[in-house]
Amino acid sequence: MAALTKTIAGRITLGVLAIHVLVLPTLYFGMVYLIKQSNEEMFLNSVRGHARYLADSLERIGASASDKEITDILDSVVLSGSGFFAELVGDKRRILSSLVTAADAETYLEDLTFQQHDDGIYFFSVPVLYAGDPYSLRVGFDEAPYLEQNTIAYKNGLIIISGYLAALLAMLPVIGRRVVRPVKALQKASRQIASGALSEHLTAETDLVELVDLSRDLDLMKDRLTDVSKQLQQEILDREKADLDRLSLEQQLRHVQRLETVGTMAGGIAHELNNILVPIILYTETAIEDLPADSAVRDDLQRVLRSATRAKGIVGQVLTFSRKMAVDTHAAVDMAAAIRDTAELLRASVPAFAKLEIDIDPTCPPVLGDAALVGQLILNLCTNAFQALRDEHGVVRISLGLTQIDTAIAKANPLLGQGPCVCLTVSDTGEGMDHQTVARIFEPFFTTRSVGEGTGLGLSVVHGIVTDMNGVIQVESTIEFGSVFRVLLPATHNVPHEDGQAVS
Amino acid sequence: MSSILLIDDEFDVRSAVAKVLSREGFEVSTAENVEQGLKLLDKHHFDVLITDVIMPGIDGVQAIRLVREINPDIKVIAISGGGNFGPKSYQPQAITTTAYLQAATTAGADWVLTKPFQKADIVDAVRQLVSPA
Repeated sequence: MAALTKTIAGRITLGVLAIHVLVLPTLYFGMVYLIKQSNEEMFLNSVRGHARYLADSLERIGASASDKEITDILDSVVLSGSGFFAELVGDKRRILSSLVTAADAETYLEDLTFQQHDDGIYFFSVPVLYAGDPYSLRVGFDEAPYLEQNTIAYKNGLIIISGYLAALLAMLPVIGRRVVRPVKALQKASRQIASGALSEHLTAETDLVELVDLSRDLDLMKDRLTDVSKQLQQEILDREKADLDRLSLEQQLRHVQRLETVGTMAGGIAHELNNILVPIILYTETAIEDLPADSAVRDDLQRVLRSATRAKGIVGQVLTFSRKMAVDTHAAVDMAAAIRDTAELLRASVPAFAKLEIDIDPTCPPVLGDAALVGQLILNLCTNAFQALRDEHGVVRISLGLTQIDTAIAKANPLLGQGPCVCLTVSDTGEGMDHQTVARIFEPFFTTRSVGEGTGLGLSVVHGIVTDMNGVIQVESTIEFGSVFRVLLPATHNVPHEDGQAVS
Repeated sequence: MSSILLIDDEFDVRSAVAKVLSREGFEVSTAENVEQGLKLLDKHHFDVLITDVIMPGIDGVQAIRLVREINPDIKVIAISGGGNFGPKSYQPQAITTTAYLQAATTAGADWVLTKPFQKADIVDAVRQLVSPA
């Protein structure tokens, strides 16, 4: 039942049926009434016609007519169609049709309206003047044929209405479906859209104007919403990317701030140590002078002096890191030449098990910096790489080329500039480092080597030099597969040479 | 015999340098800050001033100018251990040891030495300044 009242097809069916429940009986009974009226009218007309004929015939035959002639006239009325009874009654004579019995005359009971007395006969009398005397002409007609006709008309009416109802009931679902089908199509399309098929169009395959308009409006709305949704998705993506960028920026900032703090501390300590080394060196020297030439203590004091000199070297490196030794004059440095010079220096010290590969892009533009420091940068990176190989067979590879940096790096390091960067890569196939090691690799005195193998200053010096050149250093490392150190430096295309001339 | 005024805020540096130079026959007076040094300069004549560059209060660069006002002929050796005493920011333009020593040169130092130095470095410097070839 719910399906009938809640669906469009159901409501149309019920609505149409309700209308017909009201209209059809009215129509039927109205028709029945009209047919009945018309039949009655026809019957009464015919009765009156026969009566008039009878009266006319009596008048025509005149007063001299015999009973036999009158009887014949009466008989002709009974014989004509639906006649049942005919009699002429006067004061002097009473003549009955020969086709009726006297018993029939007994049933005579004049009708005033059709179908009165339920006797199936319509009786009535007409006063006539025959041979100067008043007579009453009494006739009766059978009502049955007319009643039968009524019954047939009622039946036919019922059949027609039933047929109409049956046809209507058969048509209703068809009409309902015709209205509902486009709505169903819209529903199907919108479900597909809801499940993600945004390219689906909301069209109602119908010529019903309201539905066509509705589907067009819905389609328009869908397009708008799709656009808005795409926009929102893009915004979410952008925001996520911005968040990631910001996070990486913050991380880099923290890293730089930490190095700054360490650098400041290192600079302060270096100053103190340099001051402490002055009396150590000078007093040791005077002590040596005061000892006899063959004193064993002399050798000890010479060792003190050598150690103090070594300490001076280390403090010098700390100062390089903390920029106190930074060279203010920057000039165009040919990285390719610097790599070749350093490789020459390294050649003698490359361990037998290791291989040094060099790949230089000859079109690489120069960078701004101090040639000696650039040399130290390459040397320190290579030394670190060879140490990573331990005693395994492995390859250290130096490559130089021009590269386009991605926007996140450019944003985080505005000094790198927007253009292509010179990229120096030193990679090794060594032992690799874990995340904790990578995070601390540029801190001064941080070393993974055992005591005596290294000072732990090499990479912090590298970091100082790179930063000084407005560059960036990146490290990627995989345990057991090796490490890649990538130094990005701003390329110079038109910078003053040391002598002030432009370099192209 | 040449006389030397040594200004350095570190006692051990003062005593070590003074001992080394005294043994070479120089007459050495020491001061732990510039004000003390200027008082000594008012009373005595000095041929050479050895001054630290980075010191609390009046620094070595100012000291050179003040000393030259009193004794324009005095020879000056600036010594510095470097350190992070420039602007605190971690920028390439931060003042460096080299920059300090350059400032000392500009202010009129005849010689600059980076700490730590050996006996020969400081003795040679003084000798060259007091007895030019």
